[in-house]
Amino acid sequence: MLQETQFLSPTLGWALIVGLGIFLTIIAITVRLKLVRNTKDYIIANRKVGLGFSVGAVIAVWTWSMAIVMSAASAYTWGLSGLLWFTIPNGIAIILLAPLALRLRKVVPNGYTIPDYIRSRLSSGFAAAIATVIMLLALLFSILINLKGTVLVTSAVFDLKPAAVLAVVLVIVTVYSYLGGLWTSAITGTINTLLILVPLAVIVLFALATIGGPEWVFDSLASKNPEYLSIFNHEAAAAFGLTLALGLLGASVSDQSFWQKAWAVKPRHLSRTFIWGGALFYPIPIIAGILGLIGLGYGVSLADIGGDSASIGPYIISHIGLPAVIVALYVFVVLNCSYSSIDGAFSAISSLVSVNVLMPLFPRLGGKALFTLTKLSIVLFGIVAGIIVMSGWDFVSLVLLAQSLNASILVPLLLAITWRRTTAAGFSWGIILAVAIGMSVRYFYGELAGILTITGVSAIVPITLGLLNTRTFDFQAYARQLEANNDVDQRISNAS
Amino acid sequence: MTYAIVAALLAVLISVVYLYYVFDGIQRASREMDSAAEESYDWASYTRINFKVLNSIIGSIVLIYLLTVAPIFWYLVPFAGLAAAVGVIIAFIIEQRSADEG
Repeated sequence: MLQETQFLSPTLGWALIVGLGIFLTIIAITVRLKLVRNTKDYIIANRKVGLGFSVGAVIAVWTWSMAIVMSAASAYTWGLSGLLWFTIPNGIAIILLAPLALRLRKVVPNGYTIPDYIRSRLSSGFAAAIATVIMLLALLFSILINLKGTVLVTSAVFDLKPAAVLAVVLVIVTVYSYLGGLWTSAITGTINTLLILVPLAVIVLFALATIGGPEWVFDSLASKNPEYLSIFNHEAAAAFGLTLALGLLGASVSDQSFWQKAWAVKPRHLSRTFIWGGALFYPIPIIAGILGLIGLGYGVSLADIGGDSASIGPYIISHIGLPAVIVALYVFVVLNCSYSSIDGAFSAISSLVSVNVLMPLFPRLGGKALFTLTKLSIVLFGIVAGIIVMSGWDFVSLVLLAQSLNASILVPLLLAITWRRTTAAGFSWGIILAVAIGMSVRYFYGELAGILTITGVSAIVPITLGLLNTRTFDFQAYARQLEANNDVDQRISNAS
Repeated sequence: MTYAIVAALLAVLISVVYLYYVFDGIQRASREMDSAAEESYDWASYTRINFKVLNSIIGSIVLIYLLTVAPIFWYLVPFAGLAAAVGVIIAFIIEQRSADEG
């Protein structure tokens, strides 16, 4: 029997939000004092990140707060087929970065950002500017979406005011991200991974024990609709699985948080970082998805949870009679997801702003000024994210827009990394036309048609222009040239 | 409730070991930052990507499939989460060994 809604004490909610923030800030200060001495340490950790921190950080950055609530929502909406289609593309999106990262790091061992690679590989400031804008927007959207997940859970469990939660979370993460850059992000992210994986496992086992074991849920699902217990329901694939898969691939490839780590990790650990990161990520959405199945078992209706399927996880946790400490632990897990993803995004923003905005715009900027302005960009983006969230922008539109932008850069970027005939015009116009045409198609014909169009146009344009191009790019000569003279690396190395 | 209690005890144990390796990792990183040695880019000696990559994908599909077979398998999933935390610990151990080997 589900219980009436009873909010936990708001004081406990604030204690969790602020307490976790203080704990991570103390770690950030320690990291700052021990490991960060200059701009290069700040934005690329002097390329000395080992396997443990890189794997831990990749899992944490990819585990968005919305991933915890959306995996439960997918299971609640489609049963185990929904959980399968939510989970499998998520891990693949990370694992696929391994060969790409290896390829890119071989060509540009001392790189910093994707737009910087695009600038030098395609000899085009315009193409680099497009990549910079899309990647910065993607990072901004990831911050906003994580804030949405945090608000959803803290409102459902503690009845906290969304505006206050947003303001406090943004200030906390901005402060500790400001302190240590990529080292902070990698180390706090690794701790966040522990604080996501371990409590989540315990919470779900307590939830199953409280409701009388999984046997009851299993029988309930079988009696309600046997399709819920099948992983072969093709409707789940058609309704959201394919769209999500393409969106996730675009999201990982266009996310500078991952590329920053690809260039910061020690070369010998590079491919393992993404393969292990994707593999060890897998249990997280599957565990969280069980809460959605429990909701289905109870026959919770959408109306019961305010019409938003994303609320099913927090609803189940706070309505099955779990002890307050377990409910608070669930919020703690979501906060860890949110903090680590926002922190990873801030760290990536600092590298993009430093390398692709400040250095080209102010070529004579001194090392100290570059370091200070790089850090201030985090504060600026924190303020912008706060303003957008406070303005009440519809989050569904936001997620869809982010997905479209991510999908538009996926194929052009893959081609720029792997295909010798890729041109600057193909890269730039592929993205511009894909966004313009694909967004229109999405408006009239829906999500799946929209994202397929975006992916199709973004592939056809660069491939066509590439085939028309008579010249081919020599990656080996390019690598030798960069080894002899990498102006960005020299400038950052010289900035103390 | 037995599964939950066993998991809680394992969680404490795993957390202690995990945090030890995080602390140790910070210490080692600090020492490395102080040394001027740069890692070589001898790509030929680094991990190759092979069919083993598929193991985790197939493993996860099997894990979700098992949820459709019998309720007893539902208990496996949270323990897979604990195993993933152990996986990160193993990553630290591999890194430590590879550093010791030079």
